[in-house]
Amino acid sequence: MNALAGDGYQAEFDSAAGCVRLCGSLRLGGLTEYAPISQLLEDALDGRSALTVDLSTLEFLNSSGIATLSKFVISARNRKDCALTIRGSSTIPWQGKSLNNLKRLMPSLELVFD
Amino acid sequence: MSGQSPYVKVLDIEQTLAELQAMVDQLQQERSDLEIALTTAIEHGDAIESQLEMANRQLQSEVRERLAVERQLRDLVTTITQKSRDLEVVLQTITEHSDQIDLQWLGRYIEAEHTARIDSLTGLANRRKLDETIDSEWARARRSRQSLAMLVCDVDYFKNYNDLYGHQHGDLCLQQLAAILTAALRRDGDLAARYGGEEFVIVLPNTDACGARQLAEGLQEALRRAAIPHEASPYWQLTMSIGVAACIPDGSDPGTLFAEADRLLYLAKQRGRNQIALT
Repeated sequence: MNALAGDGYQAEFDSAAGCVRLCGSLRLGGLTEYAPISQLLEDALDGRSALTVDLSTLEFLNSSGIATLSKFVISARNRKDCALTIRGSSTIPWQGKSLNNLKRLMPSLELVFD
Repeated sequence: MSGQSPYVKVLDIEQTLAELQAMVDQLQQERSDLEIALTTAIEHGDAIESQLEMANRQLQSEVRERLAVERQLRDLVTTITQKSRDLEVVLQTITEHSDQIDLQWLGRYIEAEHTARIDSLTGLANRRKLDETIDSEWARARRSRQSLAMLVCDVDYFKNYNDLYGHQHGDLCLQQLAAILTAALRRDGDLAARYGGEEFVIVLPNTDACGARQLAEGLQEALRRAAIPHEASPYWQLTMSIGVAACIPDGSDPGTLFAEADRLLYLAKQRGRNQIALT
């Protein structure tokens, strides 16, 4: 399992389950600080036909974080060989609108709300 | 003609031969000229054909190159268009996300602001909110030359109540009392606050001493009707002493009104509790 952790957040890639899980509160400063998480997401896509990104316990994500997530979704779309699912929570206010916007970047993206 | 001499006939023949020879020479010359012209034309045609073929090949090559460039440009336009669409969606996503996060923070800020001014046990305004309200209402009443009233209320024998029934019952008792105070206030600007312990303050803007006394009497009546048992009190039920003060503010110190109401509360306590002391 590949994992990252910082002040108030955790990011882990469970290769066996084909799932990247982001938890807590992500408030990193700018795309540079998000680079390790971006890399973890890109690595998870490599050679995989299906991947789930679980955000159901990600309480907070700042603007740089949503930009990182948007870039990742574009990257997954351009690869054309990986079915992407994003799991969110209907109780976390920011997820409703923002995750639906990601679907506009990748129409085949599957959104699942707990 | 048949009458001509042989000599003459020979001359004619020679002349005819000479003319024929000249004609043959001319024809040969013309034939030679035609051959040259034809050769020239053929060679010229070959050169033109070769040149045209070369030009044609060059044009075809250029057409192929242009088609390739056109395809590349079309691909580039498609890529740029896709990236442009992506950027628009990303921009909109980030903008809407930021708005959502702003709302989330604003909600938490408002909640924190509210919590910071609420007494967690009773749900009434706390000391901070009370101080802010007294300052603002004092200033408003001073500007508008209107009366400002204040009630300082204290539960009688509350220490005995806690000793007898325990602090959990004491807390419940304070919550019941808070509900009675809240129910007694009818105007938006009126404020009931927990000052501390078992002491409560009511601020009544635009209210004179008479109106404040009516409210104090109503409170005591409501408390009497609630009939909260208090076996460690000489009244056998929960009672409250109230100091009531009112004035049209003329000074800059809002503390004077509270000091007067608190002094009157002390007077009510001294007089035997379960009563109202007025300005």
